[in-house]
Amino acid sequence: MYGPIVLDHFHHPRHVGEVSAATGHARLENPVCGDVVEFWTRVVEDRLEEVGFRAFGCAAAIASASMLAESVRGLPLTEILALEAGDLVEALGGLPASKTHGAALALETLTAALGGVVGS
Amino acid sequence: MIYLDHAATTPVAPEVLEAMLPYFTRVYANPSNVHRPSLEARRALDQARQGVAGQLGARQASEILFTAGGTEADNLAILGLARAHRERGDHVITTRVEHHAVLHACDHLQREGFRITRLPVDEWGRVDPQAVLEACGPGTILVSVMLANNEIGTLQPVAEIAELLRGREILLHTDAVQAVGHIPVDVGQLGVDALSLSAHKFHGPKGVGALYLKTGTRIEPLVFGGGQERGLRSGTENVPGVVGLARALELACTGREERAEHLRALRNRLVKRVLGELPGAHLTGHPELRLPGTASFVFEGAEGESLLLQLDRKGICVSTASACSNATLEPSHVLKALGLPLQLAHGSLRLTLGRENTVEEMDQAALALVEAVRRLRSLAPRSRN
Repeated sequence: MYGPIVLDHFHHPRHVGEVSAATGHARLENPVCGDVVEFWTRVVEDRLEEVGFRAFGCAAAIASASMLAESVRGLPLTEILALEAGDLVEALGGLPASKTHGAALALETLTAALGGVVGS
Repeated sequence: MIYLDHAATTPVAPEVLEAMLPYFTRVYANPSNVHRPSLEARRALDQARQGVAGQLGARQASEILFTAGGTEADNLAILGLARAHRERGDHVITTRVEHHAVLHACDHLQREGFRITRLPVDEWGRVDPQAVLEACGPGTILVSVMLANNEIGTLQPVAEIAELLRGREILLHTDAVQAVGHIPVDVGQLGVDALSLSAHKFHGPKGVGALYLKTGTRIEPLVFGGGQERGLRSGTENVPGVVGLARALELACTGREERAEHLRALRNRLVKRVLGELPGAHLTGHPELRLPGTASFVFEGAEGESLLLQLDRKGICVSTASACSNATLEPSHVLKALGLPLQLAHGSLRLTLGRENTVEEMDQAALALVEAVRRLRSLAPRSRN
């Protein structure tokens, strides 16, 4: 069901945990399935210097947040904000159709974190 | 590999395979003909029917109808009994925790104009027999309550329900797919009119099941054709499958109580370790009135599919009914019927034991499960821990 990239990120998630001196934080929940993703970001001069996440949910949710954190660290905000869920799914080598909501939730949460403190 | 998914399916026992093999290659004739090879196949079929009837406590071999599995047996019972008794009424009673083979058949009946009552269950998943009786009205023709639940293992008071329905013209069906071969199942003692079973749940082959139908009970067939199975289930008989089912049932019923005791001991060891070492772990289903080999949990702060994948990596096979594992993104109807909060239903895990499991495997599985839950909790947002 899951490809090797998803399983790798699920079993060995990158950038787990809070970020020191964070400039942004967001935590969003999918009210239907209950997945929760939380992101911390530290932006310096319009560039994402550091990023960290926590996630509760299925492998797709955890792997999506991990892959996203790994791929956006160090990028200018303009590039990050242009990302779409489809890009993340592609980077993961694909997700089952019923699991793409995990990628969407990760991206929404990161975007919210970059906009300041959002969520609970 | 540590296989703990026996409620999903079981390996075919070597003795069962051995019994089946001649009927693929040597005794392959169609049992419906009258030449000698056909008669040999017919004899095998008759013996299997006799054997199954005997194990279930049926009065006559003709009360056993072979089907292509438990789902077909359930569908035949629900649709076939309701349609055949339509002139007497239009009301069918079942519970919210039945297998989809029953619930979706009931949904279909509803589309045909039948009225369906889906009774709630208590926190352990048990239906109140009195509530079944109270739900009965003048138009009630059929009650269907499972003998043992496939997700949580809870046993239902089917015999008590039968006792309460006694003297009324209401048919009682039980889906005994998870129960047969694992706990005592006697159609006379249960007092049911119909009972479904499936071979692959007790070390028989997939693709074959049976419906016990009490003599004199009218039923409408679902499959039409050559009139096999007394005209109630047409189609050339699956002779190797039926032979395998009968042999598997015979083996399952031989020494069943000793095996059940062994499974209970293994399961209790597993449950005790998991609950003892993990705060926020809960057993689902009834603590006592449950299948001997079923351990089902919900965990706070750890999602079921993620747990399953971590255990799979260690070669441990289990099941989950969490929201993430369903296309609808909702927890299973059984977990919802127990009244579990969504957060808890998210972390469901089912470990179902079989005769080949060992004490060492229980300890390994418990350890791996405890580690997996802790690891997922370490990744989760803090307020969930």
